[in-house]
Amino acid sequence: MSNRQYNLNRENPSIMWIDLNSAFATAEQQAHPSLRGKPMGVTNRLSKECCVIAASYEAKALGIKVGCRRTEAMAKCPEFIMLETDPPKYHHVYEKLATIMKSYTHSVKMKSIDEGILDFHGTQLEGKTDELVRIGHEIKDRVRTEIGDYMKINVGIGPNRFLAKTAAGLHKPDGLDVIDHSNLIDVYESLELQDLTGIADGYGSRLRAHGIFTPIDFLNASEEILKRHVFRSINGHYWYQRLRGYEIDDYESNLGMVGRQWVVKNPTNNDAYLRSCLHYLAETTGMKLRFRNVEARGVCVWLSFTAGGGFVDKRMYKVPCYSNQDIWERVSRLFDNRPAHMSVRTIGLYLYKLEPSSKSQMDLFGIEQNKRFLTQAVDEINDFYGVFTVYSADTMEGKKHVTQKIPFGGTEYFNLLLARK
Amino acid sequence: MVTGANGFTLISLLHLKSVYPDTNLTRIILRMDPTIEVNERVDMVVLYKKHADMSTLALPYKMRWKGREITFTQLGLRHPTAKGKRMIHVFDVSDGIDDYRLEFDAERLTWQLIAVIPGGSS
Repeated sequence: MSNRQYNLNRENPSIMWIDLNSAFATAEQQAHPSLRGKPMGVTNRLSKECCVIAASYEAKALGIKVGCRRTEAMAKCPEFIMLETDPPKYHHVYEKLATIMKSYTHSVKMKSIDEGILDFHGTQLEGKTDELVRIGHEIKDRVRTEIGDYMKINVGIGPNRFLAKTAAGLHKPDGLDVIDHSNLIDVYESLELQDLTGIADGYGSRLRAHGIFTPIDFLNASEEILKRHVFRSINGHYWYQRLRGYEIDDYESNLGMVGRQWVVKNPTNNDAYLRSCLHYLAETTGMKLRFRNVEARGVCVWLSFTAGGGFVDKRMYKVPCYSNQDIWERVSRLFDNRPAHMSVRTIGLYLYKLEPSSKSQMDLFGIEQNKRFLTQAVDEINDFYGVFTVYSADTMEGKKHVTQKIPFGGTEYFNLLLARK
Repeated sequence: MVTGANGFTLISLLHLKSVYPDTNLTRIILRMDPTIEVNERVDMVVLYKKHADMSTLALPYKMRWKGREITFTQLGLRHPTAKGKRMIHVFDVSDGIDDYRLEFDAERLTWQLIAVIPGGSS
């Protein structure tokens, strides 16, 4: 079948995908030359059973991947080195990478802590493949000179996000590839079905059950088959378009919830200690909520116990909350319902049913307005003088124990830090 | 002789702890983190370059620590952080063998050696 019969998108590529390799591990190897070329990883808190949240290329080559437990990693490689995460270091690298990317186009979207997209549509560079390749090489050079000589990135260029990301994964750890209508079939022929982004075990099994074993089989499948039989949803149409280079992934996903959790340092049922830590988590969650400019109607508190099992309580309110006081009042009420004799191992809360902030609305007696002014004033003081310059006295104990750790995947934490500058 | 991970003997671990009380021996015994925590003020010679980008504008050049002079040959990474309201510049440097984490307190104008990662660790 010819390229034209596949109905491929013949538009010249205008999307560039940047992927910083094993971001946290590479940042540590950049900082510590003695760790370069060695199997190493980082974890949030070192303990006997901690797990790897980023592994170096050398570790990945030995089968040590993200999520691998320490004992498993040590069994695979007794020389494996594990460091604790250093958030200010990664924040610095993230900020530098974002600055470099933003100097080429106004449309930059950080997809995760180590991945971002540059969209050149609507710029003078739209569809100019040679120019984009030149910029790709320039970004690679700038990352080496402005962040560090050990930092390597993969650059992928394509007509849509899916193909740009696929291109970025072709020659890790230091590749630059272009996929467009002219080489798309060749690239698909060189890949396995589950090499495609978004096709993991679940979709892989579903496709194989319908006789689709390779990316070329996938491309040959009709839209009708994908929609009605394989995916049995609109996803079939999306995949049909995506595989051909048409953009269907350019959307903002809605924020579903914000929250925090913490593995209790010394598991206990001590009410004052747990309450103070939970209050601290509630205040940081409030900070995240206001940063996203949303309010929450739903509140959930959950615990896991050392003896096994757990506790979950949630409640939906008519009036949304946004201030630290309101959030804590609601969280505290739910926390009161727990079985108090149980020793707590993990403690967490999240706020859901988020809606846009209604800051502009006036209330009849001005009480709400005063609360808003107070919250805003405290946030401004904390923004200026540093987080938790002003905080509830009740959280003092919690503040000593709970530390900010690196969340998997999202860029929210780093964006929060950048916004504070 | 009891020999633990990373080739450390029981005596050498005890010696390490007596010299660097901040060091977490559990980490070393579990072979996870080779970092030796020091947290000591040090004498420092710093190079300030007239024309350089932000990351290499100021470079630690030489340090005197425990009677030894250590010359740095490589800057790994420099990044800013904060301790309360105080601005701290963290320099991860190497003398070609070992890695050193240094902190410059921009308010108190002090240099502190925070940690050492021995180059032979694996």
